[in-house]
Amino acid sequence: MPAGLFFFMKYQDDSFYIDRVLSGDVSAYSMLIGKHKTLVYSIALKILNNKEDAEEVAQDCFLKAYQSLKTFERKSKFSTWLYRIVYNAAISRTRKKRIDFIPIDDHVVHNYTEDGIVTGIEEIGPEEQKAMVEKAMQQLTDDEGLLITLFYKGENSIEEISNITGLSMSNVKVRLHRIRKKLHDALCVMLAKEMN
Amino acid sequence: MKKDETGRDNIIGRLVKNSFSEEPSDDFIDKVMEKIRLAPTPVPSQRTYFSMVKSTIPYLVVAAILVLILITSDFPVLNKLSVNHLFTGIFQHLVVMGKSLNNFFSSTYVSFGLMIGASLFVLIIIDVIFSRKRISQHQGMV
Repeated sequence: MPAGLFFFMKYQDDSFYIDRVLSGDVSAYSMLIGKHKTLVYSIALKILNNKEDAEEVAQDCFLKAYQSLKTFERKSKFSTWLYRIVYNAAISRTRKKRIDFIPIDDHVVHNYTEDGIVTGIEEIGPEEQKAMVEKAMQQLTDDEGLLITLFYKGENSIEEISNITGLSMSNVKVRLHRIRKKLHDALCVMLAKEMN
Repeated sequence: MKKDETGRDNIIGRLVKNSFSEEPSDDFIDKVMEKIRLAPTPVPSQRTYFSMVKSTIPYLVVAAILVLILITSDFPVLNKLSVNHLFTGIFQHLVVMGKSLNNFFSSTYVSFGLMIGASLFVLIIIDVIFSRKRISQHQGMV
């Protein structure tokens, strides 16, 4: 199926495709790939920092998930199970035991009281917004980028992120709070520059 | 969490969600499906005859020992079963049987035959193990 077609399709629930694959319809797996490929690739990229390696790891993980699909017990979401596979594979690829989560105390988090972002961000166009957020996200460390991607783009809960990364739930919660503050801080600085 | 923090977090969330995402190559799905097509189908491990025997024998031995203890013991309840007398002196019979088996296996011809049989058995086991490895390698090449 051409990759472009996936853009127009509304995906069904994961279990629908899993049942079809397990009953022998291998092509149904391409729908699962289409649904999760962006985030799987993003996770690999955040850890590996190399597009070629990230793509290879992402492909291998989809293959591994396909081969292990019978063992998937459906106790968690398929995406959580898949992201955990990707996370472990990417970490193994970097030959590190786990991603170097920088201690949260090392971050310098500014205290701010201004409400600038809420009003200021609405005043600029959507493309400028995207560029600004992209720039702000580049200021995050790898682990921060991974957590924020899993939380907002992957729509994973704190418990699911904890299962994927092996961090405690309270740690994930605190880190996300700090990352949001950091992003807000970066955006405020950028907005102020934009206004000037 | 303060009210202004919640508002700020919501807008950060919305901005991150709408931000640019790195996409894999256009033929990503085709490449994965090709890998799936070429990869060997994982064969579920089958229980071998020996593993089945290995798991059954302990239960049979335990059951046999329990039966032996029960029928040779002097529990009053067993007298009601009226089969106890059938097993009276079972140990004497076992001793006699053991002695006759001992005589049988100590004879030259029988021990010679047993040696050949044991060697054949070992050869068959080795052959089974190696032929199984060859089959799995062949499946991996498909």
